[in-house]
Amino acid sequence: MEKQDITCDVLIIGAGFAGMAACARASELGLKTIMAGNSSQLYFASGLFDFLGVYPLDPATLLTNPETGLELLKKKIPDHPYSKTSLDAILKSFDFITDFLKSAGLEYKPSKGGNISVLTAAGTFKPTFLVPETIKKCQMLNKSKNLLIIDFKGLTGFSARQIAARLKERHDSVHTLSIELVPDKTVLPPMHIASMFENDDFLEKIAKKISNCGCKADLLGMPAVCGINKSLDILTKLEKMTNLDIFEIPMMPPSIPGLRLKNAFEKQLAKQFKKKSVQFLSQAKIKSEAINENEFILNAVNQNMETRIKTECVVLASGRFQSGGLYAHRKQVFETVFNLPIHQPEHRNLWHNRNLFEKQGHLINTSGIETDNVFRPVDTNGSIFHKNLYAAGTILAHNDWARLKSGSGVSALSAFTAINDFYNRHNPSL
Amino acid sequence: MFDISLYISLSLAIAGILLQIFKFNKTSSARDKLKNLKFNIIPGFFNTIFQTKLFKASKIRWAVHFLVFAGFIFLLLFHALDELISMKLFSYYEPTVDPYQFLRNFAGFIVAVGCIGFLIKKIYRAKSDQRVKGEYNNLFSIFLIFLIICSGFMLESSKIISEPIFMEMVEDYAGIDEDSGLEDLSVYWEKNYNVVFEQSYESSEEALEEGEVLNEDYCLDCHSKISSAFVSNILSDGLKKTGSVLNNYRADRYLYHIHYLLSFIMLISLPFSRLFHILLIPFASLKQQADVKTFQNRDIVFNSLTLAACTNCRICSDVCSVYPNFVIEDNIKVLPHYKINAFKKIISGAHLDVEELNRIKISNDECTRCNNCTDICPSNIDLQSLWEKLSYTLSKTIPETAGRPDTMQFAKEHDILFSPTSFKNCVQCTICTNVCPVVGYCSNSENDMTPQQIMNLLRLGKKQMAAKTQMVNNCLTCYSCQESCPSEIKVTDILIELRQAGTKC
Repeated sequence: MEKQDITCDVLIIGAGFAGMAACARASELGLKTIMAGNSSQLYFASGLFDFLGVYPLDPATLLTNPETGLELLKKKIPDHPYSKTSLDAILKSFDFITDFLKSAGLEYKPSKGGNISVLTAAGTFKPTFLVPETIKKCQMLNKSKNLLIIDFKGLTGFSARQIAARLKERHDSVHTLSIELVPDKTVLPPMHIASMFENDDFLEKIAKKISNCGCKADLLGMPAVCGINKSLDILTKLEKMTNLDIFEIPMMPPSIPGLRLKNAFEKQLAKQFKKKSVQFLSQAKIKSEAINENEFILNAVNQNMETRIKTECVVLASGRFQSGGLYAHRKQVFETVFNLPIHQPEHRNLWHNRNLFEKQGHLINTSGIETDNVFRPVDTNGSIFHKNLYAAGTILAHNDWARLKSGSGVSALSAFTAINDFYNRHNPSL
Repeated sequence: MFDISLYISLSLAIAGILLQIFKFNKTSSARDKLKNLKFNIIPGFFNTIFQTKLFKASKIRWAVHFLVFAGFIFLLLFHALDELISMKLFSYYEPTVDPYQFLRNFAGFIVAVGCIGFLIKKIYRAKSDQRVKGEYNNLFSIFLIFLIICSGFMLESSKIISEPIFMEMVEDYAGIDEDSGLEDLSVYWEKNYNVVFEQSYESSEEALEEGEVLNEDYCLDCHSKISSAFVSNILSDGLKKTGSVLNNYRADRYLYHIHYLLSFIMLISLPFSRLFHILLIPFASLKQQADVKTFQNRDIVFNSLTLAACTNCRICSDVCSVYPNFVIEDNIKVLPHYKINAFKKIISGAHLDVEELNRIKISNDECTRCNNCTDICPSNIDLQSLWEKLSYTLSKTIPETAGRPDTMQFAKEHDILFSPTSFKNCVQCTICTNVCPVVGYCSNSENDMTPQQIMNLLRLGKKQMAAKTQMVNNCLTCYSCQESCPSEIKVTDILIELRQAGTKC
């Protein structure tokens, strides 16, 4: 096995949304950055950026404006990542992410402050903060519109009829159309359909089928498979061909909007890679070797390379159980790289509520790393573990992001704040 | 001579029955035998006589079986054992008098029809049913019965056309000679009873009338009209042309010996063939079966003697809840009928290697204990308890250190396929399938399984099935899947290992 030594300013462990955001910020600030991890977790991202969709949980309140919920949240959960900072900082971190993605060609609809209600593949509506341009026309949906929903035969997990059935309660005029793409295929993976959409002839065929279906519609909802790259251009082309307003409906993983996000991040960071300010270690298992006052030494092992990394700062964005950032042992939860203290229920019996659908959620979902105001892990006494070790993303404690619908917001905020804090102390002159 | 061979076969049969009972029963412990003394009299009686459970399971099979069963029992009691039964019950009994002559023919006829039904079904299934493809065994008993019936009809018809027998009978009972009308009687019998005479007589009206009078005087008491023996009558019509030759060689004597020989063979083979179920079904039917309650209390323990009542009808496999497992995996060992035979082999002391035993054990573990097989078993065998017994027996017979002998050696060489850590993290997110260029290119028929489905097969322990898929061979080894896997499963490496392993794993 080959060996190499590298030195850097920031090591980011994890290549999910928080890791990508941290890496983007660090490279923009000109820090020498290494990102270790597996960006494929972004396939699970819906592509929607949530700020705060639901609060309080019981009774479940869908928020039209996240600010109202945020005030209450800060009072009720003082340890929540949002409670450590201001509304302004959160909005700034979102702005940073959208600007970064815009330069990579992935446009998000600018926020007017409130939440947007997005139609999902289950036929339900989900409150979210920012949506890709390809999804934004979902807002045009109201009672006076004739809606046509299409699906593709072989695309599992997306049924136009299912969505129409749910929508019938609120909309009178919902039509459906099921389009057969490849005759002898019973299962078509969404990515394969998305790449078909990048072909103009294919687009024309689809447009013809939609025009010939005989439904009077002025708004078209389709699964989010409208091309992998330049999705907005493709969607606009299709709109011209059909004379309809079209919006995408986000789907189950692997989600194409998530893939677009991953591609946009990687594309933009690769530009930095050329300048040698960013380096990737994909699919590497990280182990901590030594920690000094001013530097960390870690070992990264992937298939054919053993890398010794000397770094000044580490951002731990390794995620939770599925991505391996946390490990659920029979008796307690461990953090896998530094074995940091984890805020968790005292006993395994308390991890989950007896009722699976308990509105307040389960205690295990709020377990994680406790931090100070700039997201540096602290122990039970409140003293920090290391001045340059940060944690970002879902690994943070008191953060039931799936229920609160706050995943992207917490990730963006913690990554952005952590890198800013390190940068300010690293270069005090600026 | 006849008596000696009868006694020899009878004693052989009894010895065989005792041997079989000993063989099947030796695996039941004393506790089993004691606990098994609970009986269910009335349903057991009906099942024995009318095969009520078979009727519930399949009407057609019941009909065919009942034809053979009813016909054969009638023939056994009133024809084979006529000296013991018919003659004592009916004072005017003569085998050639109606209704006995007709009933004997009728019984023989329905047995033959039933046998043909059985044979057609067997051959049809051996050709079309994938579970028993090419299996032509188990035809012995039914074929033997068919031969006995055929030889019986042949014997009867050869007796009908026999001139020598006619002469013997005339001598014994009529006492007439050529002067007093033997010729007339012969003419009458040639016309009405199908007897074939070497020298043909002129059949004049007068002769026939004379013959009829003589017939009434001497013969009619013991010989009903030949037409009531409807099968033999038709057969004798066919034999007429070769009648004189057959009469010369006394074919009836040969057929007589053949008929008895076959019957003795059947008697001897009774304990060693499927016919043994005739004796054991009453026992199995009368015995109480385990139901939920008795099963939980362990009140009834399986008595392996009832296993001899199995006729290998495979109805249990038709209703088995794990039948889909068989369809998907092509593993016949999960089906009840296979397991019964395997258990028979095990208790008979046949040598099965550890690997085979292990496979049977693993397959037996797939049983869901749904009780369908026990409910339907026409022989009323307590199959539910048998699977417990099989599981227990196998856990005793397979040495603990044996592990999985077929995979142990291989596992060391190909760690990645056999270590559960290789794919335990798989969340079936389908990303590997999404990024796979082969899936995108090939049609469904060329690609039976996608990478994520193969990972799922491996998680379920179906390595052989995974190795057989087209995907394993179609893989381009572009490593897209492995690089994209969020759970960092070595999808491509696993596919390559599978390809190299072939069906060996």
